[in-house]
Amino acid sequence: MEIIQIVAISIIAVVLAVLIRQHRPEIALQISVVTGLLIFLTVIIKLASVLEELQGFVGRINIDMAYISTIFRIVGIAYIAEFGAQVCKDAGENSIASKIELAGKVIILVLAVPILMALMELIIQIIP
Amino acid sequence: MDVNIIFKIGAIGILVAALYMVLKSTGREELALMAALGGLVVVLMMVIQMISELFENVRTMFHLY
Amino acid sequence: MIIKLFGCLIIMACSTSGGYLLAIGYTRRVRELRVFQQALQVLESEILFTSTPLPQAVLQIASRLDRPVDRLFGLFGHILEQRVGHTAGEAWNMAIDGTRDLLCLDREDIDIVRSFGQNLGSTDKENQEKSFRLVKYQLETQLRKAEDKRNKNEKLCKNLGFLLGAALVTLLV
Repeated sequence: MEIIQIVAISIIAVVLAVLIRQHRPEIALQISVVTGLLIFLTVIIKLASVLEELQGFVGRINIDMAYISTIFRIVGIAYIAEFGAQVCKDAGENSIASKIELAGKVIILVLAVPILMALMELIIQIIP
Repeated sequence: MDVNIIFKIGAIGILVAALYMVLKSTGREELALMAALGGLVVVLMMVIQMISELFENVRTMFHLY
Repeated sequence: MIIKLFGCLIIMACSTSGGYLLAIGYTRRVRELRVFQQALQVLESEILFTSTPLPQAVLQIASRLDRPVDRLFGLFGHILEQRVGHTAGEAWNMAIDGTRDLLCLDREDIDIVRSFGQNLGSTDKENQEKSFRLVKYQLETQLRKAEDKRNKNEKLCKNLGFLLGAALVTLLV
């Protein structure tokens, strides 16, 4: 059962990080980053297969692929922004974390604007 | 899932802490600071590789190119 | 797997013992300086108060000292005994060069010892006394400096050796 492995590794990493934090907080930060990375890299393969399933399913429905890829991109950006923000918060740099979140939101907005515009067009067309 | 890297980083952290204390107690503080920075750089090298792998994966997976 | 473990052990053993050797150098230097002081004290009393001839006095001292300083005096007495015509100063320098590798003394210490030897047996009693006093004073200063150095560096070297070995093992494993 992989979840047990993941949890075990996380607990060990947490103990290590707590031990080292008093002496070398920067290295404790690296430990937490690396643990997160390891866990993510482990599950990303499963995630990839789920996404492909989704893509195949959506391909059968008649929706423009651009919309779906936009959705994927937005999810990806959200994930990376969250990762970065969490690392900053872990290190105590809350201001940098909030700036990262702001940047993520802006970029997602920029990506979503064409879809919103298309939606607006549609609505305007319907309303006389 | 190469878990050994976590232990490596942990061991380097402990070693750097011990080295720092030893060097400080014998008065060579500059050397202690340099050792701490060196340890940090080494660990950073190891972590940056993993981070770039992460970004590569996320990019290809979510079609972010 | 077991080869890896073996390699790690070897690396750790080597670097720990390397640090240890460096640390021991400091302890030995302090000890040798002390033994040297003792030897000079005895030499002084032999030369100035009992007027023993130099080779005999030196060989007597050599028999009573511990290694490795006794080798220096032993070689010195030996060269003098051969009566090949070296002056005491030359014989002293030859003895120093011969035993230099065995001693853990610093360059400064060796220079002080050498300059002492130049005055040995070449001037009258009063000047010998002065030269003895000078060298004793210089050696005392050196001893104190050596002790300071030892206190600072001994533990440092030992720990450093161990930690560097551990660092190497961690990076290479």
